[in-house]
Amino acid sequence: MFYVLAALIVLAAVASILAPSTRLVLLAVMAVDVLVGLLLIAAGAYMLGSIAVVAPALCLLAVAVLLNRSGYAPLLADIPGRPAGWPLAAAVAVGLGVLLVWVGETRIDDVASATSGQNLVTLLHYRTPVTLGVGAILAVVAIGGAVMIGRTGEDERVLDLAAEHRRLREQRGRLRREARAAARAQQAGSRGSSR
Amino acid sequence: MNVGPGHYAVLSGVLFALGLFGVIARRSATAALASLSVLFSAPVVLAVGFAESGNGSNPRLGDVLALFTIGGLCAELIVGGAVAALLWRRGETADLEEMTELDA
Repeated sequence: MFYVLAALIVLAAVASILAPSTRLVLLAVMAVDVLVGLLLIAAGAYMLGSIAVVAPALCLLAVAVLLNRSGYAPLLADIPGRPAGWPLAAAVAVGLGVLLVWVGETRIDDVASATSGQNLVTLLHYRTPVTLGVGAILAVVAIGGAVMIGRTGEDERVLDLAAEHRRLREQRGRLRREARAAARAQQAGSRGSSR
Repeated sequence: MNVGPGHYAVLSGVLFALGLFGVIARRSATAALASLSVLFSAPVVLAVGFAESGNGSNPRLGDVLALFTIGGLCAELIVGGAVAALLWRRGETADLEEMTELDA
Protein backbone atom coordinates (compact mmCIF):
# COMPACT_ATOMS: atom_id res chain seq x y z
CA MET A 1 0.00 0.00 0.00
CA PHE A 2 2.78 2.42 0.98
CA TYR A 3 4.66 1.85 -2.26
CA VAL A 4 1.60 2.34 -4.46
CA LEU A 5 0.63 5.57 -2.69
CA ALA A 6 4.24 6.80 -2.65
CA ALA A 7 4.57 6.21 -6.40
CA LEU A 8 1.28 8.01 -7.08
CA ILE A 9 2.31 10.94 -4.84
CA VAL A 10 5.64 11.32 -6.63
CA LEU A 11 3.92 11.10 -10.04
CA ALA A 12 1.39 13.76 -9.04
CA ALA A 13 4.18 15.98 -7.67
CA VAL A 14 6.14 15.60 -10.92
CA ALA A 15 2.98 16.47 -12.85
CA SER A 16 2.54 19.56 -10.70
CA ILE A 17 5.93 20.94 -11.76
CA LEU A 18 5.71 19.87 -15.40
CA ALA A 19 2.09 20.71 -16.23
CA PRO A 20 1.87 23.38 -18.93
CA SER A 21 -1.31 24.97 -17.61
CA THR A 22 -1.83 26.61 -14.22
CA ARG A 23 -5.18 24.88 -13.85
CA LEU A 24 -3.52 21.49 -14.40
CA VAL A 25 -0.89 22.45 -11.82
CA LEU A 26 -3.62 23.18 -9.27
CA LEU A 27 -5.35 19.87 -10.07
CA ALA A 28 -2.06 17.96 -9.68
CA VAL A 29 -1.38 19.64 -6.34
CA MET A 30 -4.85 18.76 -5.14
CA ALA A 31 -4.11 15.16 -6.16
CA VAL A 32 -0.88 15.32 -4.11
CA ASP A 33 -2.84 16.59 -1.09
CA VAL A 34 -5.50 13.88 -1.37
CA LEU A 35 -2.92 11.11 -1.86
CA VAL A 36 -0.85 12.35 1.11
CA GLY A 37 -4.06 12.30 3.17
CA LEU A 38 -4.71 8.70 2.08
CA LEU A 39 -1.11 7.81 3.01
CA LEU A 40 -1.64 9.30 6.46
CA ILE A 41 -4.86 7.29 6.86
CA ALA A 42 -2.99 4.16 5.78
CA ALA A 43 -0.33 4.99 8.40
CA GLY A 44 -2.97 4.99 11.14
CA ALA A 45 -3.51 8.74 11.50
CA TYR A 46 -7.20 8.65 10.57
CA MET A 47 -8.28 12.08 11.83
CA LEU A 48 -5.14 13.78 10.55
CA GLY A 49 -5.48 12.05 7.19
CA SER A 50 -9.05 13.30 6.85
CA ILE A 51 -7.90 16.83 7.69
CA ALA A 52 -5.02 16.51 5.21
CA VAL A 53 -7.42 15.39 2.47
CA VAL A 54 -9.95 18.16 3.05
CA ALA A 55 -8.22 21.28 4.41
CA PRO A 56 -5.44 22.02 1.87
CA ALA A 57 -7.63 21.05 -1.11
CA LEU A 58 -10.38 23.34 0.15
CA CYS A 59 -7.93 26.21 0.69
CA LEU A 60 -6.46 25.74 -2.80
CA LEU A 61 -9.94 25.61 -4.32
CA ALA A 62 -11.02 28.71 -2.39
CA VAL A 63 -7.94 30.65 -3.53
CA ALA A 64 -8.49 29.61 -7.17
CA VAL A 65 -12.20 30.50 -7.10
CA LEU A 66 -11.62 33.85 -5.37
CA LEU A 67 -8.82 34.79 -7.77
CA ASN A 68 -11.01 33.83 -10.71
CA ARG A 69 -14.06 35.77 -9.55
CA SER A 70 -12.37 38.87 -8.14
CA GLY A 71 -10.76 40.06 -11.34
CA TYR A 72 -7.46 38.27 -10.85
CA ALA A 73 -8.00 35.65 -13.54
CA PRO A 74 -4.65 36.49 -15.24
CA LEU A 75 -2.97 34.97 -12.18
CA LEU A 76 -4.48 31.65 -13.26
CA ALA A 77 -3.50 32.09 -16.89
CA ASP A 78 -0.62 30.19 -18.36
CA ILE A 79 2.85 31.64 -18.55
CA PRO A 80 4.81 29.81 -21.21
CA GLY A 81 8.46 29.02 -20.97
CA ARG A 82 10.83 28.41 -18.14
CA PRO A 83 13.16 30.91 -16.50
CA ALA A 84 16.73 30.93 -17.70
CA GLY A 85 17.98 29.63 -14.39
CA TRP A 86 15.97 26.40 -14.28
CA PRO A 87 19.01 24.04 -14.55
CA LEU A 88 20.41 25.74 -11.44
CA ALA A 89 17.04 25.33 -9.73
CA ALA A 90 17.01 21.63 -10.62
CA ALA A 91 20.55 21.19 -9.30
CA VAL A 92 19.72 22.94 -6.01
CA ALA A 93 16.51 20.95 -5.55
CA VAL A 94 18.11 17.59 -6.34
CA GLY A 95 21.12 18.41 -4.15
CA LEU A 96 19.02 19.34 -1.15
CA GLY A 97 16.74 16.32 -1.64
CA VAL A 98 19.70 13.95 -1.84
CA LEU A 99 21.30 15.64 1.18
CA LEU A 100 18.07 15.20 3.15
CA VAL A 101 17.79 11.52 2.26
CA TRP A 102 21.49 10.91 2.79
CA VAL A 103 21.56 12.52 6.24
CA GLY A 104 18.42 10.66 7.22
CA GLU A 105 19.75 7.35 6.03
CA THR A 106 23.28 7.71 7.47
CA ARG A 107 23.95 4.82 9.76
CA ILE A 108 25.66 5.57 13.03
CA ASP A 109 28.35 2.93 12.43
CA ASP A 110 29.29 4.74 9.20
CA VAL A 111 30.52 7.74 11.14
CA ALA A 112 31.53 6.22 14.48
CA SER A 113 32.45 2.83 15.81
CA ALA A 114 29.13 2.35 17.56
CA THR A 115 27.66 -1.10 17.39
CA SER A 116 24.00 -0.15 17.24
CA GLY A 117 23.80 0.25 13.45
CA GLN A 118 20.67 2.39 13.64
CA ASN A 119 20.24 5.01 10.98
CA LEU A 120 20.17 8.66 12.01
CA VAL A 121 16.47 9.10 11.38
CA THR A 122 15.57 6.22 13.68
CA LEU A 123 17.96 7.40 16.38
CA LEU A 124 16.68 11.00 16.31
CA HIS A 125 13.13 9.74 16.20
CA TYR A 126 13.46 7.67 19.37
CA ARG A 127 15.87 9.87 21.33
CA THR A 128 15.04 13.46 20.45
CA PRO A 129 11.79 13.58 18.50
CA VAL A 130 10.95 17.16 19.50
CA THR A 131 14.36 18.45 18.44
CA LEU A 132 14.08 16.58 15.18
CA GLY A 133 10.65 18.03 14.47
CA VAL A 134 11.62 21.58 15.38
CA GLY A 135 14.84 21.24 13.38
CA ALA A 136 12.96 20.00 10.31
CA ILE A 137 10.48 22.86 10.51
CA LEU A 138 13.25 25.43 10.98
CA ALA A 139 15.14 24.00 8.02
CA VAL A 140 12.08 24.22 5.81
CA VAL A 141 11.40 27.82 6.91
CA ALA A 142 15.04 28.82 6.49
CA ILE A 143 15.33 27.35 3.00
CA GLY A 144 12.03 28.90 1.94
CA GLY A 145 13.15 32.31 3.25
CA ALA A 146 16.52 31.99 1.59
CA VAL A 147 14.92 31.16 -1.74
CA MET A 148 12.60 34.15 -1.52
CA ILE A 149 15.39 36.52 -0.44
CA GLY A 150 17.87 35.12 -2.95
CA ARG A 151 15.77 35.86 -6.01
CA THR A 152 17.70 38.36 -8.16
CA GLY A 153 15.21 40.89 -9.42
CA GLU A 154 15.30 42.91 -12.63
CA ASP A 155 15.78 46.11 -10.60
CA GLU A 156 18.98 44.72 -9.09
CA ARG A 157 20.28 43.84 -12.55
CA VAL A 158 19.46 47.37 -13.74
CA LEU A 159 21.21 48.89 -10.71
CA ASP A 160 24.28 46.68 -11.24
CA LEU A 161 24.41 47.71 -14.90
CA ALA A 162 24.13 51.41 -13.98
CA ALA A 163 26.92 51.07 -11.41
CA GLU A 164 29.14 49.39 -14.01
CA HIS A 165 28.46 52.19 -16.53
CA ARG A 166 29.26 54.81 -13.87
CA ARG A 167 32.52 53.04 -13.02
CA LEU A 168 33.55 52.94 -16.69
CA ARG A 169 32.60 56.62 -17.14
CA GLU A 170 34.67 57.65 -14.13
CA GLN A 171 37.56 55.55 -15.33
CA ARG A 172 37.47 57.21 -18.78
CA GLY A 173 37.27 60.68 -17.14
CA ARG A 174 40.27 59.88 -14.94
CA LEU A 175 42.29 58.66 -17.91
CA ARG A 176 41.41 61.85 -19.86
CA ARG A 177 42.45 64.06 -16.91
CA GLU A 178 45.70 62.17 -16.55
CA ALA A 179 46.37 62.46 -20.29
CA ARG A 180 45.68 66.23 -20.20
CA ALA A 181 47.93 66.67 -17.19
CA ALA A 182 50.68 64.68 -18.88
CA ALA A 183 50.30 66.73 -22.08
CA ARG A 184 50.47 70.01 -20.10
CA ALA A 185 53.55 68.80 -18.29
CA GLN A 186 55.16 67.80 -21.55
CA GLN A 187 54.25 71.17 -23.10
CA ALA A 188 55.70 73.05 -20.16
CA GLY A 189 58.84 70.94 -20.36
CA SER A 190 59.31 71.60 -24.08
CA ARG A 191 58.85 75.37 -23.52
CA GLY A 192 61.39 75.40 -20.75
CA SER A 193 63.95 73.56 -22.87
CA SER A 194 63.41 75.92 -25.89
CA ARG A 195 64.14 78.96 -23.69
CA MET B 1 9.12 -5.81 3.56
CA ASN B 2 8.48 -3.56 6.54
CA VAL B 3 7.94 0.14 6.00
CA GLY B 4 10.04 2.12 8.47
CA PRO B 5 10.98 5.74 9.09
CA GLY B 6 13.60 5.52 6.35
CA HIS B 7 10.96 4.89 3.67
CA TYR B 8 9.00 7.93 4.79
CA ALA B 9 12.25 9.93 4.89
CA VAL B 10 12.99 9.03 1.27
CA LEU B 11 9.45 9.93 0.14
CA SER B 12 9.69 13.16 2.12
CA GLY B 13 13.05 14.04 0.56
CA VAL B 14 11.70 13.44 -2.96
CA LEU B 15 8.61 15.56 -2.27
CA PHE B 16 10.76 18.31 -0.77
CA ALA B 17 13.09 18.37 -3.78
CA LEU B 18 10.20 18.43 -6.28
CA GLY B 19 8.44 21.20 -4.35
CA LEU B 20 11.62 23.24 -4.06
CA PHE B 21 12.28 22.89 -7.78
CA GLY B 22 8.74 24.07 -8.51
CA VAL B 23 9.09 27.08 -6.22
CA ILE B 24 12.36 28.16 -7.81
CA ALA B 25 11.67 27.29 -11.44
CA ARG B 26 8.03 28.25 -11.89
CA ARG B 27 7.39 31.72 -13.28
CA SER B 28 3.69 31.84 -12.47
CA ALA B 29 2.89 33.07 -8.93
CA THR B 30 0.02 30.62 -8.60
CA ALA B 31 2.09 27.67 -9.79
CA ALA B 32 4.91 28.59 -7.39
CA LEU B 33 2.35 28.74 -4.59
CA ALA B 34 1.07 25.30 -5.58
CA SER B 35 4.62 23.93 -5.57
CA LEU B 36 5.07 25.40 -2.10
CA SER B 37 2.17 23.27 -0.92
CA VAL B 38 3.93 20.17 -2.33
CA LEU B 39 7.01 21.26 -0.40
CA PHE B 40 4.92 21.58 2.77
CA SER B 41 3.64 18.01 2.34
CA ALA B 42 7.17 16.68 2.91
CA PRO B 43 7.35 17.35 6.69
CA VAL B 44 3.78 16.07 7.10
CA VAL B 45 4.72 12.71 5.56
CA LEU B 46 7.92 12.59 7.61
CA ALA B 47 6.25 13.37 10.95
CA VAL B 48 3.43 10.87 10.47
CA GLY B 49 5.85 8.22 9.24
CA PHE B 50 7.89 8.63 12.41
CA ALA B 51 4.77 8.53 14.55
CA GLU B 52 3.58 5.32 12.89
CA SER B 53 6.82 3.46 13.44
CA GLY B 54 7.48 4.78 16.94
CA ASN B 55 6.52 3.12 20.19
CA GLY B 56 4.25 5.99 20.62
CA SER B 57 2.78 8.40 23.10
CA ASN B 58 -0.88 9.25 22.97
CA PRO B 59 -1.57 11.51 21.08
CA ARG B 60 1.32 10.68 18.79
CA LEU B 61 3.87 13.49 18.70
CA GLY B 62 4.41 13.17 14.96
CA ASP B 63 0.68 13.62 14.35
CA VAL B 64 0.69 16.81 16.41
CA LEU B 65 3.64 18.21 14.47
CA ALA B 66 1.98 17.22 11.20
CA LEU B 67 -1.21 18.98 12.27
CA PHE B 68 0.76 22.17 12.90
CA THR B 69 2.36 21.80 9.48
CA ILE B 70 -1.02 21.34 7.78
CA GLY B 71 -2.20 24.50 9.58
CA GLY B 72 0.86 26.29 8.25
CA LEU B 73 0.16 24.93 4.76
CA CYS B 74 -3.42 26.23 4.78
CA ALA B 75 -2.25 29.64 6.05
CA GLU B 76 0.46 29.73 3.38
CA LEU B 77 -2.05 28.99 0.62
CA ILE B 78 -4.46 31.70 1.75
CA VAL B 79 -1.85 34.37 2.54
CA GLY B 80 0.19 33.46 -0.54
CA GLY B 81 -2.91 33.81 -2.73
CA ALA B 82 -3.56 37.23 -1.20
CA VAL B 83 0.04 38.33 -1.74
CA ALA B 84 -0.08 37.10 -5.36
CA ALA B 85 -3.30 39.06 -5.92
CA LEU B 86 -1.77 42.18 -4.34
CA LEU B 87 1.36 41.92 -6.46
CA TRP B 88 -0.73 41.43 -9.58
CA ARG B 89 -2.80 44.51 -8.72
CA ARG B 90 0.38 46.57 -8.36
CA GLY B 91 2.32 45.18 -11.28
CA GLU B 92 -0.35 43.83 -13.62
CA THR B 93 1.69 40.66 -14.07
CA ALA B 94 1.62 37.10 -12.81
CA ASP B 95 5.18 36.45 -13.91
CA LEU B 96 7.45 36.24 -10.87
CA GLU B 97 10.43 37.34 -12.97
CA GLU B 98 8.69 40.63 -13.64
CA MET B 99 7.65 41.21 -10.02
CA THR B 100 10.70 43.10 -8.87
CA GLU B 101 9.42 45.88 -6.63
CA LEU B 102 7.92 45.42 -3.20
CA ASP B 103 8.21 48.99 -1.92
CA ALA B 104 5.29 51.40 -1.79
